[in-house]
This record gives sequence, structure tokens and C-alpha cells, in this order.
Amino acid sequence: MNIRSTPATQASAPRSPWRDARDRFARNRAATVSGLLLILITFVCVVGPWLLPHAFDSTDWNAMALAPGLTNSHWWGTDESGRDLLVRCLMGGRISLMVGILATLSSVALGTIWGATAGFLGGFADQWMMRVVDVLYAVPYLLIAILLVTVLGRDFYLVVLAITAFSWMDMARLVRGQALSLKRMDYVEAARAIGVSQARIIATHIVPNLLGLVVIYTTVTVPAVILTESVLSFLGLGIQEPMTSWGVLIQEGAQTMEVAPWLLLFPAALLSTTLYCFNFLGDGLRDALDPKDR
Amino acid sequence: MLAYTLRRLLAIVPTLLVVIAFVYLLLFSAPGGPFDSEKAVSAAVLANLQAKYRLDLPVWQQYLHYLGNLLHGDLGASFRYADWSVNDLVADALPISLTIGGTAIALSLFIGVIVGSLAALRQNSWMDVSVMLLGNLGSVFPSFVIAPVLVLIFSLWLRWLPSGGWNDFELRFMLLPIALLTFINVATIGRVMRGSLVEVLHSPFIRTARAKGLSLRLIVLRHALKPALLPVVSVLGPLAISSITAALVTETVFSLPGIGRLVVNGAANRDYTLILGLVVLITLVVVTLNLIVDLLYAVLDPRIRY
Amino acid sequence: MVDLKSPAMLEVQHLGVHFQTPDGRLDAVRELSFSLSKGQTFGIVGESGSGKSQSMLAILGLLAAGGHATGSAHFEGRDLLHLAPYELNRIRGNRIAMIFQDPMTSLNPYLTIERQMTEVLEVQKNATPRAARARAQTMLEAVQIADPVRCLKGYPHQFSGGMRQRIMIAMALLCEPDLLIADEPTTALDVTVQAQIVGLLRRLQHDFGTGILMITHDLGLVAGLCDEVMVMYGGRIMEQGSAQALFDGPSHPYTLALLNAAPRLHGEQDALIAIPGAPPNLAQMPPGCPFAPRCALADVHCNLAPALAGEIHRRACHRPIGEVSIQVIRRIQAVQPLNRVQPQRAEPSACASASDRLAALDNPLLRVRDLQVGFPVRGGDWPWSPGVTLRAVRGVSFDLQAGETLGVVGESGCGKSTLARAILNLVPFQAESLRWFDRELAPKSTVAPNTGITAGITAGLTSDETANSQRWLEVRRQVQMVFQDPLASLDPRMNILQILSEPLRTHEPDLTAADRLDRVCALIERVGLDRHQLDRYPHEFSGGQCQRIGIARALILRPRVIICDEPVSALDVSIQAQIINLLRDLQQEFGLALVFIAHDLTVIRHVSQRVLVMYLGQVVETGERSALFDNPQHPYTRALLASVPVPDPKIERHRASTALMGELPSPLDPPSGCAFRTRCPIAQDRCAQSSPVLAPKESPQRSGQSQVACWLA
Repeated sequence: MNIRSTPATQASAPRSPWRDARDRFARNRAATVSGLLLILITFVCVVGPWLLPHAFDSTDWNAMALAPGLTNSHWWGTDESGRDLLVRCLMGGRISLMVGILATLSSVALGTIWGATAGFLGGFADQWMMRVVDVLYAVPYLLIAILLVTVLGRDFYLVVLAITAFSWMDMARLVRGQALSLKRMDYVEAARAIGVSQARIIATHIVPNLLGLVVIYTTVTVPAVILTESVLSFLGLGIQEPMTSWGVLIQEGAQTMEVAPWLLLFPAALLSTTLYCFNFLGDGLRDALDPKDR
Repeated sequence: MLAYTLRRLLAIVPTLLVVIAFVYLLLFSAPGGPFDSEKAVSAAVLANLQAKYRLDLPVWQQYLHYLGNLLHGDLGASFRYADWSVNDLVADALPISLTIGGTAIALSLFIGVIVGSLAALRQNSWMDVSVMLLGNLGSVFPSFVIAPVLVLIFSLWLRWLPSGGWNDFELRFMLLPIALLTFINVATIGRVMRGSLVEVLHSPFIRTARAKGLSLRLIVLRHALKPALLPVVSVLGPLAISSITAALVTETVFSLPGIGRLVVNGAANRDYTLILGLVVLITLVVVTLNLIVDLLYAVLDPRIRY
Repeated sequence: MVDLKSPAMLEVQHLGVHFQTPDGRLDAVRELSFSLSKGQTFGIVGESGSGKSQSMLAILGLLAAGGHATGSAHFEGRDLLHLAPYELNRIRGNRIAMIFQDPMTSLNPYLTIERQMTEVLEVQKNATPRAARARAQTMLEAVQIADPVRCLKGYPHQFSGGMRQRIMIAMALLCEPDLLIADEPTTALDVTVQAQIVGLLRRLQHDFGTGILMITHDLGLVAGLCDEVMVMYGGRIMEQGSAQALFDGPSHPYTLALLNAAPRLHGEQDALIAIPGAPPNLAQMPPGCPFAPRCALADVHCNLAPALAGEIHRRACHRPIGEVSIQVIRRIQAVQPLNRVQPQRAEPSACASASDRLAALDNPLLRVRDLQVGFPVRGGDWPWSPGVTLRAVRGVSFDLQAGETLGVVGESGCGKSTLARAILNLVPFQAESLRWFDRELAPKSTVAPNTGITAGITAGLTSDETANSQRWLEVRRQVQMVFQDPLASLDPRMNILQILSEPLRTHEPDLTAADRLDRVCALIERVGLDRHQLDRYPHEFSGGQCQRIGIARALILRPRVIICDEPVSALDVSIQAQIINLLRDLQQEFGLALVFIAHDLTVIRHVSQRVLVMYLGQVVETGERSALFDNPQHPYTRALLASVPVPDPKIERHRASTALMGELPSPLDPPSGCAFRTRCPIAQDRCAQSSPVLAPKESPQRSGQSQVACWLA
């Protein structure tokens, strides 16, 4: 059946693909709820520590390993040194989210430029650029991160760098694939037949049609990056004292979970919720921007 | 088919060479490298290193020397332990990791394919929904979150299994790690299998099969299964890689003396040669796995090999 | 001849098919009732949205998820729609078989042919593997597959489209079913292969006595093959009767319109009677007769769905038969012009007279000599295997005169689309000479899909190169292109105004936005759209409307030449006529020269003045339209013309079966000498030794310029 044979209706406003996507996204409740939740979490992590009475590294010898409760000022309890868990979770959230966003932005930028260039140039350039990606792909990414951290140290920005170093490859591959298929599109050929210059074709035809993909996979990359940082920290190879992140907190919690399970459960719940929300957000964006029935 | 295999094999060699070179250079030439004066190296170790790596030669010759050693299966001398070579350390750790990892992958493939298929055949039923939910859970909760929780439940509360340790392939030490790894992988495999089987069942050639009067069982097993497995196979590669990550965490949490723990300790101790040797080894394993995946793909899809 | 009094084999009563979609209920088929006798050939004709496929899928229980069938379909007394799955499986593949449109996707690419064929026998007839294999082999021989044993061991992707369809047919006939349902079996195939398959079906029907139910949009096909024909539109039957009666005297406005909207191989050349509007939107069907919105004879009574009246010849129209004639329709349409461009004060007709054209022969717009296009392809399995070149165009030479329409026709793989792209430098080419508007042009580096930019860099960045680039840019201003897939050729993220402004921005950058808007508005109404639709996006338009936008985009720079690459192949017949009429009118008004590429000979005949026939990258014959069609010289041209089905049963039935044998050779390894010799009925030794050149052919029956590339012409 040819659904396309519908003539345009006069009454409604023009439906640009972006508007269609926005509508589809809004209809996906899981995705919108996740999005709002993420904004909430981010907000709380950023603003929270300023509003709470305790500092994340201040030890309270009177309240060591306190269970969570609403009666005292330590709503989520404390750890063995008396440090407030809630504040530490929020501070950890700051770090984890910041690493996530920074590393994602840089790997998306690098990956997109690499992949788009390779895809559009084609031929020799494409082959060699992607061979580099293939080679780097062969090494398990965590090992590269561990390598780099071993060599370079565990400074915050170095951790970001290490994570970026392998996260860009997925994006590069995806963007290159999409660029290749866009190059073959009839409307790109039509633009060439008109005489539009290469640069303008890339700017007006290729880039806008790539954006959707980039947006989707950015929201997929962020949780992967956060996860990597958490694993690194959990293994003791990531964020160092005095800073803390969710991975560090989980590791500390895991060590004392027999006596103080809340030290594990709260940061784990925060991390998992964030990752879960990003998943739904990513799924929702993917359905909105790339529906199969179009 | 043969030509395809050889082509893929040929492609591996340059990859390996480049990776090794890259890692080697990174470790030995980067600032903060092994021979910074701040890091004291014991005399015995230094003697070992001198013998193995010919530190008097320029870097690129050292590299070639290293490669030569590699071809003989010699992964080098440890940077920290004068008495043991990297080979020794690896020989002890590798069987443990392989057993646990291998069992987990095999189990998760088996369970994942079956569960995913059933979910696809009964779309939107309770089985399907629970598979999808579990799938999401397994891929979202990081291994290092699930692991301590598992220990909490089975070890500390129920007291059924030990919380870690190892005793010469005794089953009770292997159960939790294998369960953890299996659960994580089953989530992904089940989800992928379900999605791909649903899509294959909508293909035109399945319609032809129905028009021929074949039973559902025959259609699924003979016509739909092969193409549906293709995405699962293609996800095995990344899955293997993430299994290595999971192995690192698992071995740390459960105190298993495997390759993963060697990596973590090696990194913490800055045992450069050990890390180098381990990276080489793991890369080799991953690359081989990828090759096997490619070959499996060609076995399933005749359009590739002809 | 079929005994009409014999008991019906298949009796369909009040069949309805509907789908539950997120947007609401969609009725694909409504009130379908007909009966089929044993051994009868029955054709169902309709365009997209007519419900022809869905009705048959419903009968066999093959509807997609979300589809529901109502009514009854009795096969030998049992209602197929209410059978248990187990029993339905006894009938499907065994008593009733079905073959589908695209044999590539309808065969399982992962299983061998043998496996797919023998399983039918093993399941339906409990055959042993050996017996099943033997029978499969026999069946493959019956469908004229050359090497059945090797075929059985192979996989679908190793065979050509025609062979795959034969395999499908063989597979369907394994159990000697009483009825074979063929859903558009030849739509995806070349016309010569189509003729082979149709001939095959006819022969098999004769040998096995199988009933055939043929679903198609091609009236010519049913004319040749079917005794009884049913015409559907919008999910309902419009008319049903014997083929002869239907074609001689169609009594429904839709049938009449359909017959007159399709271009013919013989007969007059007036403008086609286009059917206005677009195929129905099944989600928003008007009450009453589905064809009413587009029917020239519609009146207020049509709001009530007319019942199907008649015994042997049935029709669903409340207008009396006498009123349904082409004259009446023409009269009505003369009063309300439909979607035809009204030319304003036309410039002097650019369809110049013969003498004018002879005078212009020395100054052709385009002059091509020995054009070659090759694509590098991996030669063997090894990375070091030397590359091979796929020669898509192998030495083509021709001229294009001002104001004429040059038709380029050929089947798949003949290189016509590649040729179109080469003359615009959209793919790299080599030529002894390529001249646009009397200026020599060299191939320019181009980022074509298959090549890399580095290929062009090595061509040199000398000052010659820049001058060449400049010349190409000027050429592009004068030569524009219309593409095959209307929706795919428009960027989905740009609205119509932006799409139409793009050429203006490129070539006339000094225009202000207001100027651009004026130009666009003026043109959009010329092509039959509304200026208020300028802010909409391509996916909101139908296929025909998208193609109008594509044509507008090609016209906005006032070019002298438009190259049309299969512009109507993706459209329904009724829409095709609209677009063809539009192109003809615009050509007259603007004095355009058209290069019209198509595989459909009837369309080519309708629009062209001169025709180029291509085969495997070479031109085999050229000539004036009437001369070429009435008196073809090259064996391939003759075969092509003989393969085209004609919507007239008398002609079709009595045509000798002269279908072209064999398959198209691989372009990677073309036959030595004349590429056509492997399939040519009159080939001789000489044809293998050297390749014939295109030479002028003087013949008393033919006037004007014509050339043939054949040693024996």
C-alpha cells in the first residue's frame, strides 16, 4: 500500500521533520520523564552541596557510620569517618556528570569530524582513516584507559582525556556510515547536478541530516562514559582523593557493606537511575528522530 | 571461504603490530615512564630488565628485540617482581579467567538465544515484557554495582556462598562470578535476539514460507533462526570486549587471581612490563575472537563467502 | 475455453480487509465478491491502494500483523478464512500456491534452493529427500533452467532476477496446485524477461491445467494472459468481465480512464487523458464510490456506494452504460481543464519543423563522441588481485538538437542512467569529445559516490582545471536534471521554498530573498501546485506532486535542456499521464530540449521525437520515432517491441511467442564482438569476431536520420 499517496492537507501547519520528531518524543512518556529526571538530578547535584549544612569532606566524629534517617542532619547517613553521605553523593555526582559531559563532548566532536571527513572524502582517505579506527578498536578500551592513566597519572583532566581517547571511535564509525549513505542520496546528487559547491552541499545537505544521528548517540555516549569513569574509580584507577565520584563511593560502600549497606546502596541507586534515564532518553530520541515507518 | 579466511587473517597482523608498537612507545617513552629517576627500581629487577630488553639500545631497536621475544612466546620480565617473569604470572592467571569467562559466555549465549526467541514469538506477553525489563536492567546496572549486591545477598545474608577467594577451581568459588557475568551478557544477547527475530519474522521470505504451508516451528527453526542470529553474532565482538571489563571488576570484587586482577595490580604498582605483556595478550585474544566472529558470520550468511 | 457452468473452485463472498493502525482504522478491501472456476485465468488490475494484493493475502491467511479479514472465501467447500492453522497449511503451498513480486527478497537468502524446494514436498507430500530432489529437478527443467543440478546447490543471490522468478514458479508448482496466485510477478523484471515469464506461465497453465490468478497494474499483461479480468479501485470492484469485453467496451469510468491514460505502442499521439488527483488515502475514504473524487462523470448519487450489478459482466457505477464513453469524458474535461498547464502567450513553438531541424543539425546543443564510463571493481578474492573495470558505457556517440526530445531506452544494465550522469559530469567519464553548446568540456574531478576525492586531485589543479570547472558550472545552469524517485530527490529537511531557491542561490546569488520568492511563486503554479504550499516539506506531498516539485526545480533557472532520468517509472499509471502531459506542455512553452530516459517503450514512444536504443553500454539503434517503432532494424529493438504487452486481447493472443531468450550478460565480462549476439536470433560467426559500429542506414521505408549497429541490418 502506498501510504505516500496522501496529498497535503491544507488545514494543518507545515510539519518539518524536526517538528515531527519533537511531537513523537513528547508522546513517549518514558523518555520525557527520564529527561526531566535527569535535569532534576543534575540540578540537585550542582546546587545541593551549597544548600546542605555539611561539607563533603568534613568529618563528624560524633556521628560515625550513622544509619540514614530524617531525624538528624545526616539524611542519608554517614560513613566511617563521619562524612555525610548525601553531600558526598551529590559532590560525586558533580564529578561523574562533569566527566561524562566533558569526555562526551570531546569524543563526539572528534568522532564526528573524523567520521564525516572520512565518509565524505571516500576512497583512499576513507580507508586509511577507518583503518586507524579499526586498529584502536582492537584493544579493549578499558585497557587503553588504564594504560593512559598509568602513564599519565590520575589528574581529573587526564582521566577525561583517557576516556575520550577511546570513546570517539564509535561515533566516528557511525558518522562515517551515515555520511557514506548520505552521499548516495538522490538529493545530494540533485544538488551536485544543480552545481552547488562541495562546501555548500556539506553544510546544507549533509550536516543537517547527520545531526539527528549525532544527537542520539551523544545521549548514548554519556552514560557509557560515566560508566567507564565509575569502573576506573571503582578499581582504584580513576578519580583520586580528595575528589570523589560515584564510582569511588560505590567502591568504599562495597568494602563496608556488611555493616553499613546504605553506603553502597545510595550511590549505586543514584548512578543506576542516571544511567537508566539516559537509556530511555536515548531510546526515545532514536524513535523520534529515526522512525522506521517513514 | 578459504580465501575469505586468509584475507581476514592477513588483516590481523598489521593490527597487532601497530597496537604493540603504540603501547610500547606509550609506556616506555611517555613522561612519567619507567626510567624516571623518582621511581626506584631494585637492582635485581634492573638486571633482569637489562638482560631482556637491552636497555642500552635505542628505543626502536628495543622494540624489535621485544617483538623477537614475543614471537618466542616470551612476554618479558616483570617490573616489580624480580623472581617471576610475565609469563609465569600469566600462566597462573590465564586458566582461571578463561574458565570463568568462557563458561559465562557459553551459558549466556545459550540462555540468551532461547529466552530472546521465546520473547519474540510471544510479543507483548508477560514473558516478553519481563525479558525486555531484565534486559534493560542488566545493561544499565554496572557490573560493579551488581557484584557487591550479589555478595551482599548470597554471601552475607543467606550465607550460601563465599564472598570471594579461590581454591583451585572449586565450584563454590566460581558460581557467583559466573552468575554475574552470565546475567550481564544474557541481558544484551536476549534483547538483541528478540529484536532481530521480530524483524526477521516480518521479512518477505518468511511470508513465502508461510505461503508454502510450513508449520511455525519449521519456519522459526529453519528459516528465521539463521538470519536472526546474525546480529547476535555481530554483537559478540563488543560483548567479548565488555566481558574483559566485567572480568576486571569481577576478579577484583571476588578476589580471584585471574588476568583481570593482574592488570589492576599491575596498573596500581606501575609494573610497566607486566601491563605491556597483558595488553598484548588481551589484544591477541580479542583479535582472535573478532576473527572467529567474522568467520561465524560468513558461515551463517552465504552472501559473504560467495 | 473455460466452462462457465462448472462449479466454482474458489468462491469469495463479501470479503473485507481492514487494518488497525495507530492513526485509526484503514479499510483496504470492501465487499469483494467473485468466483473462480477450475483452470481459469483471472486477472485483478489496480493501482496502489486498490486492495488487489491485500485481498489475496487475506484469503491465504498471510496478512501482516494488525490485519483482519471478514467475509468468506470458500475453496472446494471450505471457508479458508475460518480454517484452523493446521488445515490452512494443508492447502497453502499444496492446493493453492502464491508467488510474489520481488524474487530476491521472497526467497530465503540463507538457504540453498534445494532446501527451499524439497521442504515443500517433504512437508506436504511426505516425500523422501531423494524423491523430493528428483521432483525439484524435473520442475526446474520445466521452467527452463539450464543446469538444474547446479541450480539446486546454489543460493538465491547467485542468480539473476528472471531466474529467481522461475525458481519461485517452479517451487510453487511442485505440488501441482489447483490455483496459482501471482502477485505482480513481473513488475521487478525487465520487459524481455517479463515476456519470457509470461510465456512460461501460459505454457505451464496449458500443460498442468493450473488456474492462474494474476495481480498486476499492467493492462497489457492481463490482456494477453487472462480470460476474466476484474478492475479494483480503493478497495472495491469497479468492473469485472471477460477480457475481450472489458477491453473492447469498458463500461466503468475508471476502467475507461485507465485504458486511456496509459501510453500505447500503436495509435495516435494526442495528449494522454490524465486522471486528475491522486490514488486514494485509505485512512480517509470518502463515503460512497471511492473513485468519485477523480471521476469526470461523478454526480451527487455517487455518495452512495453503487452496488455491483450484472451477471457475466459486472460493474459498480450508477451511470448508464451509454454515458460512459471517451467522448463524454473529453467533452467534460474540455470544460474543466485538469492539471494541464495553460501556456501563456507561447513563444514560437520549439518543436521545430523538419527543415528547421535539419538546419540546426550543424549546431547541436550537445555533441558526444565515444563516451566511456568505467567503475573500478575488485577483481578477485585477494587484496592483491588486479582490479577490473565495470564498463557501464562503452563508446556512445550522439547529438542533441535544440527543442527536440531525445528518448533513451534500454533495459536494466544498459547504461542509460550512467550515460545521463556522465554528460553532466556527475560521474567520471572519458570521451573523445564532449561538447555542450559548442564548448569542449573535459571530465572534472568529482566526488562521485564510488570514487574518492583523491582521484580527482591527481588530475591536476592547473589553470586548465579551473577554466574547465567554470565551464561546467555554466553548463549546469543551462542543463538540469529530473530524477527517478520523486521523494528521494528532495532533501527531507528543507521546505519547498528552500528546495526551489537552491538553484537560484547557486547561479544568481545577487537576487534578494523577495526576488527569489517571486520567481518560485510564478513557477510553482505553472507546474500545478499552490503557492501556499511553499512552506511544506516533501514528505507531506504525494509522489506525483513531488515529481512536479522536481520539475519546477529543474525549470527555475530557465535551462535549455532538461535530462529526465526515468521520471515516471515510480508513479502510478494515472499519475504518469499527468506528469507526461506536464512535461510536454512545458517543453512547448519554454522551448526545451529533453533527454528522456526510460525503460518503458510506450512512454518513450509517446514523448520522443528521436530515440536511442541501448544495450549493455552501447547504442544499437537510433532513429526518428515513428520510423523506429514502425520499422525497427536491429534485432534487439525488434525483440523489445515484441515483448511489450498491448492492452488488446486480440493482438496479444495472436502474437507469436517471440520472447527473447537468455539473460543479460554480465557487464564485467561482455561477449566479444557484438554484445547482443548471445541472445540474437540471427547471430552469425561474424558477430562474434568484431563489434559492429553505428552506421547510417538508408531504407526506403524510413525517413530522416537513423543508424543501426548490426552487421546484418
